[in-house]
Amino acid sequence: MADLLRWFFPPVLFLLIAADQSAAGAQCGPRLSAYQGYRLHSVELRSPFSFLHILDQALAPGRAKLPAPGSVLDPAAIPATIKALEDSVRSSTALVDPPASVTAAAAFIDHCDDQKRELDLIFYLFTSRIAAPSSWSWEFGQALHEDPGAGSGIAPRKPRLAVEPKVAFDRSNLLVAGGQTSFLAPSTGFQLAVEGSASDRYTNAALRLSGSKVLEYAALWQASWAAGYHFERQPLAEERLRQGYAFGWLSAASRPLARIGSPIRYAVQFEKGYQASALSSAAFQGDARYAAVKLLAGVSGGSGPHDYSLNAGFQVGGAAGVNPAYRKLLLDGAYAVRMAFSDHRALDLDCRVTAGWLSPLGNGHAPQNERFFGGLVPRPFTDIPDWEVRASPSIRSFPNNRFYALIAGDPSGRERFVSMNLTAALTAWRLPLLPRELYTNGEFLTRIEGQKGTARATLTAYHASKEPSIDAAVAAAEKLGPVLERLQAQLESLAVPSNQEEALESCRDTLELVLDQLESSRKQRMFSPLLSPNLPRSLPRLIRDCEDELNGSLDNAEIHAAARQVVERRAEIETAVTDPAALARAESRAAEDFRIVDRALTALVQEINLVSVDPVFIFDTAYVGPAPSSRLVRYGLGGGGRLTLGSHVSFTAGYACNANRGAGEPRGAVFLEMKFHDLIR
Amino acid sequence: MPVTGETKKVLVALSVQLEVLAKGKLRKFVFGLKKTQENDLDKWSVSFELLDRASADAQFARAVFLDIDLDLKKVPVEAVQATADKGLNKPQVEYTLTAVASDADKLSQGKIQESRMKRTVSDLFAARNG
Repeated sequence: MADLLRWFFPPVLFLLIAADQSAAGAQCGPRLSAYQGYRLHSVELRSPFSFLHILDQALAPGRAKLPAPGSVLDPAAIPATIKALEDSVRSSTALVDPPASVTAAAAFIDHCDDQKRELDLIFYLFTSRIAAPSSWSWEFGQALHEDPGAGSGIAPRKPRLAVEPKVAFDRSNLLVAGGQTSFLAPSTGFQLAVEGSASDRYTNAALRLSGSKVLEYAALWQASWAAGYHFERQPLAEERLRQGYAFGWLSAASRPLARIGSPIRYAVQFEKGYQASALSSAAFQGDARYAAVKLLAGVSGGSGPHDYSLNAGFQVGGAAGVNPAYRKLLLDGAYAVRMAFSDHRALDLDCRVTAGWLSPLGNGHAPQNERFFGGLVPRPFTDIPDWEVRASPSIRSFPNNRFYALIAGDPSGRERFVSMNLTAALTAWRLPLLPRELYTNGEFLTRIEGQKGTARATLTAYHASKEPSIDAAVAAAEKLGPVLERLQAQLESLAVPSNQEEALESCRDTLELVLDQLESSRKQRMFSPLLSPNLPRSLPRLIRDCEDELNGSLDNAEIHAAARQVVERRAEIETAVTDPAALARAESRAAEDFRIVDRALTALVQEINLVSVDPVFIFDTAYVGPAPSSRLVRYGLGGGGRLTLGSHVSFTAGYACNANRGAGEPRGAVFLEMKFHDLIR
Repeated sequence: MPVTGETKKVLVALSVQLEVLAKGKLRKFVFGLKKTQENDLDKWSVSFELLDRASADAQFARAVFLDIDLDLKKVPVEAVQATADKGLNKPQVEYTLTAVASDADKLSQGKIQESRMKRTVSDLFAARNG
């Protein structure tokens, strides 16, 4: 039964484990040796992501090394077990290799019973395997909170089948059931996805083959592509809109720009197919075969609790092979802020503003399906799955496609809309992703911060070594090498008075170390160890040992000459490695690289809940025109609740009323959505 | 000892490892700080590991590994504490990637004695202040 629960509903198992934490026992003392010889009542391995099948498998070798329950506590076995767990994570080929990651393992004792001489031993393992370029998108920020396992990039490297069911309800489409099945080959980046959902009134089906590649160019950091076919049938009042088209898209992102700290994203989608509707009017086409080009550009990112996304879309379309008949411009901006007010509790505020303009070109007519029919669920502009740009007004007090100015469209053939959506969600009850013992442990948090410092320094050193100004330091080192080798040969045959023998030996030792350091510094293009007077392998130490202490009394002209060369070359190296502009660039690039890790780690440790219940409040306003008389502006007000269970399922339900409804318009709309994130990972 | 319903778990061992994948994905640096208890005393150890591979699809192989028990009485305590709290800084990283890595290679090839390797590693903390 436990296996069944673990497979199909891991959060339930986690809750059972959490409930077990209040089992009877006694407080343990801080010294492990006091419990030598105690019997291990229970031995557990916990991990916030252990419900992920992929990590569960990766930890199997380490789990096999856990001390057996019932055995006697051996303090020496604890570090060995921790090492085995760490090795399991590190040697796993199933986990991704991110630019930087943290793995932390800890051991706790609990319920120390002096009468029975037994205690519980708990091992805890946390690993972050953060995906890189995709982590910059607005959608990543949302996914991190809705689906922390996937958001943190814990994905397999072996071929993987994923099944993601979905159930939704609204008054237009009624109860829609469906989902997506995908097959991913991580070694090539290829993914084949089949998507389908349907109700009595609504049908959606899509087939997509996609791929992605991480690159190292400033303007092309990540590229992805897809090709496929999409069919959709949806209700519009008493009518139907149908559309089927083949599509292909290319999407890319630049490296994060230093000034804004975020990358620029850009994409193009081509599509060709048909759009059909029973609506008839002079300005729009009912049935049309069409081709369209869609261009997208945008920027998204975040800083601290703030996330933002700004996107622009432009589309030109018309009958295939004929002059363009219409154009469409979309602007879509989103901002979210998370205000934490207590331990793992926060108020999340989201604001999204979208606007669009549709115009005919020449004597052309746009298909009815290109118009701005709004409602509960916004239409996506493209088929790019991780880049959501809305192409219709979103107002949650209207069922799908029920928000429009004129059912047949304005005689001008033009349409425009603006919509704004505000959403506030408050954490009412939660079970944090990490156990309290860990995320409140100051020592653990300090170590995490320390390791982040190491990663930042490593990245800074790497980027500094690539700066062109380091070429001058390399050249100086190449000049200095022969000078020091001649000095070394001279010192070998140098005869000194007996009271100088120790100084000579010290000079020779230092020179040998400096020659080694010079060679490795030249190869790695990293010169700070050569300049530090604290280090025995530095140029200042060489001057001190050979010129000041040895040659101070010897007054050897050749050593003087070598020392002058050392001083000159040292000055050249120092000038090169302390170039302020180069250092600033290196630090800036390191900060860009590390921001992804920093952001995700902060969220994983301080914010994300495994289970949470959130009341949700919404306020929407939308305008669509041209309207027959006055402007059509409507307000929607409502609320509901959201239940999120780990990485597996989220359930949202609510109602929004139409606050200033017009004749024939709905009073409001119920929305209901249950989303499964991937049942078999 | 009285039996109670609610207890607080006691941390008895901690290990934090950070992996940095170098550009080109061909080299990986692993830094670790471990804290354990020995004879009721906290014991810290530092590890450094350099892994490399021929291509981005190949498995990593260990090129350098250092595991050093720190005697907090013999090394500059402020620098050790700062390193433990804030991590390695840029001069320390450069020292690690040049001096430590170079001597580790020499040690594995039998070209230097272990005593020199230990001095080189201990100087990691002196490198912190430039």
